[in-house]
Amino acid sequence: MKKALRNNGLSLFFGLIFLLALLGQALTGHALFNEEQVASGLEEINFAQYLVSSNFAVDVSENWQSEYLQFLLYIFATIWLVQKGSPESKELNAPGPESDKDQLVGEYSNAKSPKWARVSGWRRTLYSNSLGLTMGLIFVLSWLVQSIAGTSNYNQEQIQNFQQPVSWAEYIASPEFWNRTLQNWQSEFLAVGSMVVLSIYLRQRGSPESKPVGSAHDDTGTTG
Amino acid sequence: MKTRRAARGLRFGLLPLLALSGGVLSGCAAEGTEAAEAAEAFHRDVAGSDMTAACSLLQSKTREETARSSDAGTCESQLEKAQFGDPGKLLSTEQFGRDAFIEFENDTVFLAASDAGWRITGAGCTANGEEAPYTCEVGGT
Repeated sequence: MKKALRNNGLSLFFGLIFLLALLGQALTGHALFNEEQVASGLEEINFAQYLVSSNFAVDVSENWQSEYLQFLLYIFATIWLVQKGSPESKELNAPGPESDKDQLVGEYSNAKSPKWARVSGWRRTLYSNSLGLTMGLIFVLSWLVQSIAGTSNYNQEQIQNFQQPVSWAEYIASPEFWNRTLQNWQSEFLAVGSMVVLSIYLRQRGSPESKPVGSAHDDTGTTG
Repeated sequence: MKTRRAARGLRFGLLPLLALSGGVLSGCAAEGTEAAEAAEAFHRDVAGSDMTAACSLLQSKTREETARSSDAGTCESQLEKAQFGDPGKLLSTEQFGRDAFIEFENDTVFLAASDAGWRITGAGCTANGEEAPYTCEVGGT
């Protein structure tokens, strides 16, 4: 039990703080929603009603889509683009999908390799891209949820302001949708870019996200 | 970093959320008819000069504001003064969460859900162009 906790500490830690943060968002979002309801002379809703509201769904999904886009882009961009001195980058001479030997697939696989890495054909191709594809699928679904829940949430505001509701197609062409989307994207892109550049010159002892403290600034692709 | 109510989240079933957000839109049709019934009942009451019943269908803040805008200080007297024609046929009902937008041939009605049922926040409303708020005989901005 203790060993299992230690061996899975990273995923358990992030799983736990995710749930706590989501609960916090729900509680504060509910309180804020009711403040606005009262200010508009409308009735308050209970916590269960808030959890299934479009207001909560759009706020959650707009952040999810940007996070998954961030990882999706990072996964694919780092195949081809390199950054001299960054532990986030591959070696400068290794852009591209690399050889079967480097990737331990097909005849270069070993006894512990996943089954679909050992076989050839569509299964190997699919498995070779499964991380990026899964991140991409979650990104697209989250963005779709944002657009649907966002339409409903936006139309509630429209009706409360005695304005005409809009269709989903109108909503995804609206400043509201793109403002919600881009304000999240810009922060994700900044964070990833900062990590790539700052890790060239700065160190965090013991973290695999950093180079070893004594590594030269131009050492690329090494982790501590 | 994020100006709207924001939080970061990873790892959760997306399909339930997708189903939920779809429900937010599509699941509204049946309840939307209740909103339309409230709007139709309001017009029926006004046409039958039952202003007390009509006022009871107004959302509480709308009712108070309607009464305040009347010389006699009552909601009923203000409804009598308002220019409500025949709304005509019901054309469409759009409900989003706890808000509804009902279009008749000659009228548009705005409603909000309350514990007691659907209540009117604006009636006798006419459009003022694409983005501008509607102008309403009762309620509205």
